[in-house]
Amino acid sequence: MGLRQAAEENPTGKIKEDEKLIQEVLSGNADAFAPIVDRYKARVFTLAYSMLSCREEAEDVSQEAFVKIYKSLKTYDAGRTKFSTWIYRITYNLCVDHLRKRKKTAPLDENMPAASSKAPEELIAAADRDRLIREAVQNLPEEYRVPLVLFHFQGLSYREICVVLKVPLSIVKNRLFRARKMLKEKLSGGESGEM
Amino acid sequence: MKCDVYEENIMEYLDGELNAVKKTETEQHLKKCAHCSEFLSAMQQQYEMLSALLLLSPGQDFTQKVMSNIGSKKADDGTTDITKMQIMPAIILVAAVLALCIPKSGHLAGVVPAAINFAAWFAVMIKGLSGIFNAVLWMMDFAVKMLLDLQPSMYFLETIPGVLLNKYPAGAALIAAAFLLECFLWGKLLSPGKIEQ
Ligand SMILES: [Zn+2]
Repeated sequence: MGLRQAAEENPTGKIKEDEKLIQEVLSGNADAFAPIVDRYKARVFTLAYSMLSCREEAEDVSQEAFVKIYKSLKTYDAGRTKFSTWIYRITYNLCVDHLRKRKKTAPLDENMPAASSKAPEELIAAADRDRLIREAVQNLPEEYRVPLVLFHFQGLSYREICVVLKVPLSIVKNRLFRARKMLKEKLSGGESGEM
Repeated sequence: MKCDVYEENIMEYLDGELNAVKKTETEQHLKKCAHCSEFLSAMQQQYEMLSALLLLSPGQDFTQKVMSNIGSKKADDGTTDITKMQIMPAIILVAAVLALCIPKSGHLAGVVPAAINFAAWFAVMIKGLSGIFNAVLWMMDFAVKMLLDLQPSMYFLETIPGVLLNKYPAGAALIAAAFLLECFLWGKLLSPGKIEQ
């Protein structure tokens, strides 16, 4: 049975390393922030891309997220939140702000799929099936897409997703459930009913 | 429909979040329900596909860009936050109050050290967007010093928190140097009578 293994990419050793780097940054060594960026940039960018569906915007918001993380690092409380969860929360909030602004300036469909001309190289290089799944995920409504991405790509637990999205556990469960069902429909619909 | 509940349980089971009681229940149900067994295998497939996807990578120079972005906003870091906005005027106030206990004379003698101090701080601060904010603060500081004629020891009061707030090794060295120079100049410029008083 494909039970979810410890999908956590952050075993104790890495958390310790994070804490050490954070302390270094806080004590004035800004260069210690670079390894933090390296460690989390793909996860931050993936979350931003999943919410914004545009590579350039995702990159800009990810930049903004890291600047914000750097600036508010001293308010981070390791006793209360996992560093990764805190980072996702900041990224998520910035994306939400960005979507709000985008709605005001140009009323785009927030659920628009990634335009194929703008598809990231990873997508082109990846197998067709991968592209299909990614597109299917990207086509889910935002409130279902984000918990799914946080769970599968970022390896967050239900409770961590609650913290990032600031919604109760029952909602997280429900949205994940609905997201999977929708995804199942989409994927079976796209391949002559066969999964 | 009853199976809806089991579908949810199946998902939680795959997520590793289903409790033991429900797990046994669900396993029992799976044995006799073809629909849910099918649902389970479809979900498993979906999970495998999703977990096979890699994270997306941002552009090559992403980290570099972040580092230069925070570099340009470095001074801004401490300055825009409330702590510093409150601490700086507080330091000036404390220095001013202490200064009241010191005999005043030779106002002009304060110009050179105060200007050096101002320049040193401004050089550190101007790196960030908050240069103007700091400039205003230090103008105030300058004015207070001019009016109250602070002695070198007073500069020390703001040097330590200043260094701590800025966390700049280079800035700290600059301020320390400015402080030493100030002490020296104060000694030279002020009438000996005042220092000894
Ligand atoms: Zn059933």
